[in-house]
Amino acid sequence: MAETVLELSGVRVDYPTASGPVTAVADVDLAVPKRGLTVLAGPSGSGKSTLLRLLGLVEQPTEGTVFFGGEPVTGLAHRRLRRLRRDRVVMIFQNPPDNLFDYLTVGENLRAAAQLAGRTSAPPELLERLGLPGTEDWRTSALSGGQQQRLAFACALAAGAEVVLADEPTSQLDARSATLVLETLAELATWDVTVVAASHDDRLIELGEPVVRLRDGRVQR
Amino acid sequence: MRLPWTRAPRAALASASTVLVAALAGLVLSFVVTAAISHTVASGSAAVAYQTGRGCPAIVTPTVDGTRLRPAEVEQAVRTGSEAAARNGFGSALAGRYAAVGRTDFNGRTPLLRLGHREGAADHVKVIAGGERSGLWLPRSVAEAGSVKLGDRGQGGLLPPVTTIFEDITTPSGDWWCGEERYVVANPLAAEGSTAPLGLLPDRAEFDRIMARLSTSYTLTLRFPHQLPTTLTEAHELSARSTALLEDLTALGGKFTKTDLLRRGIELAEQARTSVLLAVLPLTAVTVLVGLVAVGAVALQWCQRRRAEVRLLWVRGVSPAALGGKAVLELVVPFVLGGAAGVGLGRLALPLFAPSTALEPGTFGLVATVVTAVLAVALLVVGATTAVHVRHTFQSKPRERRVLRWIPWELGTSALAVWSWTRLLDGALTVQRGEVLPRIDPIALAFPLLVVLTAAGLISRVLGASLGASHRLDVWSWPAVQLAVRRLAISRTTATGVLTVAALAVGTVAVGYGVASAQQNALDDKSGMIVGANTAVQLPLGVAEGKITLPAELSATTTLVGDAPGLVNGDQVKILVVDRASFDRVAWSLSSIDTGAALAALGPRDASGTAPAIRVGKTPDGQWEPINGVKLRTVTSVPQFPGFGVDRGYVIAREALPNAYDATAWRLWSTSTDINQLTGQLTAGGVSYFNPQSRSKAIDALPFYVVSWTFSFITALGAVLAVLAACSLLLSVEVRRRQNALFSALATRMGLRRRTLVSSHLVELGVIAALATVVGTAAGVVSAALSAARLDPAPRLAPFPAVPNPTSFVLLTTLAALVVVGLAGAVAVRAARTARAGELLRG
Repeated sequence: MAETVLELSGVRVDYPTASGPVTAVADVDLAVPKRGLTVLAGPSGSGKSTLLRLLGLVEQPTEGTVFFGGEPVTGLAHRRLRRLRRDRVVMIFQNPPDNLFDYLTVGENLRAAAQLAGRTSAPPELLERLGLPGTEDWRTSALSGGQQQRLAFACALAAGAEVVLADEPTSQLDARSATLVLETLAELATWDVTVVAASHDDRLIELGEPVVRLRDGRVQR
Repeated sequence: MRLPWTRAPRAALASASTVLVAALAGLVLSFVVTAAISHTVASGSAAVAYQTGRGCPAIVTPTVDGTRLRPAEVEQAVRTGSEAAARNGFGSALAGRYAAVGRTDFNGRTPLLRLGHREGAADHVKVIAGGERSGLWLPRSVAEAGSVKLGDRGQGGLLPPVTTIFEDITTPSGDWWCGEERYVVANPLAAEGSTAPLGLLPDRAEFDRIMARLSTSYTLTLRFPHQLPTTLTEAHELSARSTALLEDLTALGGKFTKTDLLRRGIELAEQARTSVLLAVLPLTAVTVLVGLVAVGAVALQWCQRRRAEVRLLWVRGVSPAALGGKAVLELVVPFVLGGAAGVGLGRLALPLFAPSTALEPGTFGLVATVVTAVLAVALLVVGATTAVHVRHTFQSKPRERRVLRWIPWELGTSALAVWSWTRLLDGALTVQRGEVLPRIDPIALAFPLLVVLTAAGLISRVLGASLGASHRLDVWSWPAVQLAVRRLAISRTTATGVLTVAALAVGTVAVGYGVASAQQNALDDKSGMIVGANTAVQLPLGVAEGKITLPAELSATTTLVGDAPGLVNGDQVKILVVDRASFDRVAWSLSSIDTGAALAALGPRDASGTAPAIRVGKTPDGQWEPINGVKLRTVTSVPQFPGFGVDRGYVIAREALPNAYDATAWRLWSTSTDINQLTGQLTAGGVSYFNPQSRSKAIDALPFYVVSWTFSFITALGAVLAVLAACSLLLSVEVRRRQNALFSALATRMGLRRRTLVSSHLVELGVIAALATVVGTAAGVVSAALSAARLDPAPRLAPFPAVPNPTSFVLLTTLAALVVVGLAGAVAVRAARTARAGELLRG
């Protein structure tokens, strides 16, 4: 069996609403392998983003346990969860500008990501490796949506993240930009990084290994 | 520090509206602090100016008066006084040497005269004839009484020749002579021979020679002219030197009387400042607290506008406290710039709200320190609010219901209003033991503001609830109304917030303006009711008897009034004898009393010798002890009447009085506000007068000013709130610029007429402005009216303070509201008109 980095065991998440609690996901058991691209697939409202937030340690389950690196992290103090997020996990949101500081240049965004994770600087070859050579002094608004998402992944790598979680990374991009992101994800899947993406983009789902299909908050077996 | 914190000031520019709001919050906070400190300090300065300016400026500094002195004693005292003056920074002593009053023989006639010498006196009298700086200068009254011509000598040649005839020195005598009036002005009411006009000997050696020949004793006055203090610090400094000066003069002995009036003036000025401080301090504290709540709202706005970045940083492991720090770093520059602008504005606007522009030397340092402290607290609030909000948003479970929204905090403010009302009923102004000025109860003072706050909260809650239920409203037959309501409903929180601030602003200005005006009007009316008119002088009986004719130019502006004694049940009451033809035109009038109608009921005595009379106040009915056989019959009653003040009694017509001498005194009331003008005209017409009275000095105005100054400050606070409300309205429109543009573009393409679109914006903004104006004005005017009557520094004197007619205030407020609505409407419509297609299509 492949080595896992993140595991969910018997997880359920309820959200309170005016008309009573609504269950977003239930009875989820999931193991995310340490290598490759794991894709959470399913229609809107199936619970993909909720699962991604659980894996990103930004949300706690109502029931069940989340394991990170084999250790249970459910109920950990916020300070320890923050440290895990800072040092080991990066989330990438679907709207490209939301992953960047628009008042910083491309290079400054990379440095900011590195410094936030306690590193002094970002590896200089990152931009080139992710197809953004010569853009270091550019404003982020000068990049296309796909390039902005690539920069977001570069920032994740600059932060030294072990786990990169991407929520619908291609949903707000045109086809050409989406292709750039898909290429990046395929590239990352070959590196020493755990990549989890939530998506209903068929091209992205095809890249996934494994693909976890969700419907009405439950994992389809 | 690391990225992105090091780029925080640049990041702030990403949200211009937040920067603007932060700058505004800083401006308002620092303006309030600056205004409060400056206003309190200025109150002390204004009280000093009032205390030193209402009397004679020459005796603000110490005075030394000695009588029955020998020449050697005079010279010793002058020398000691001059040395002490120089030692204590008063320059030199101004000595006045006077002989005793005596009859002086001129051409066989013996008018009363007091000879005197005062350095520089020749330059401070009005010369009629002559002018040589030697010999004897005689006042006109003595010259006329003795048929004296230039060159004549009095006392059988003992006196030097008369070289100059000058105008008599009369009351009011002006700043140079006012401290000497008891020696240089003849008082016809004083005992025969105790006062007399002054005859001047400009040459001191000549004066000393004459004094030696006359073998009379000296009266000496020492004055120490000095520039009047403008602030309490200057007053204290001058008082300290005055005390030292008087200590240096203790060696003069018991023949000299010394006074130091400044010390008492300083005590009163300090009491005034303390009263204003105690009244202003809680209001300022509450305003600063409200301002800090607004600062918290700015922080929340920052969180909302920068939500994506806050989320990005939080998921990357940044703590809420560090995010609070980022908010502080981003907003510190606009806060500081706004704070500096607030201090500048507070200083520039000082003449608009403060009673004086003279500030103590350390005021700016104090302002800077307190403003810095308040801004530091404000930044702490920004950091803490942001941290708590981030923690609440990302680390806490969502709450099922927003509890705060449903807390009826208006109940709290209304309970406080009831409490302050009971304090107001118990007496808001109390005079402490050993004090003259009333202390203002700050809790009672807060009553009108608490009423306004409650009203503003209630109307906002009603609007919020109405907008919450407005989705049921279907008035598409009036599309402008329907659109306006929907737009308001979408931005319900903003709309209710702006309405709260706007209603509070209008109400606060109404309260401040209402009570301050009521105090000023009460001061005018009370002093007017004491004097009877703007100015008055007592005249010789001959004027009432027709033996002395008044100058013709006074006929239109004056009326002759007599005071006669009356007895009711053995109690003495006042009988005022009035000239019906001119009284109503000249006398001080109150809107609550129809003096003309009352006067019309008066007339001459009837065949039985009974005169119709107006009963004034609660004068008891009873058995009359008639004046000179005249019986009185009450034909009408009035609560107050000009000239009565706190007295009670009756008013009768001039023709009802058998003889002019039946009145004990005759006074000439005048519409002229300048007593010098009236006395000048009388002097020019050769009519002697005495006991001049001016409405401006009839009563001690400082207690009224203390209340008035306090509420002027409240008006300033209200004005700041009004500006804040107007800016908030404009900002709320600007923030929705893109939504407005998008909606307008779509709606007009679907057939909405431009006129309807404009109307919808005007209705939307007009609803807020109209509600704020109506509720704020109503709550402000009503609560001010309730408070004003109970904030009466002189309740024994009628009438009570009453708020002025609010019509002009309502018109002005409505006009201001229309301007703001028009401006905001123009901004909204312009956003729709100038929107570019690319901007509308952007995702």
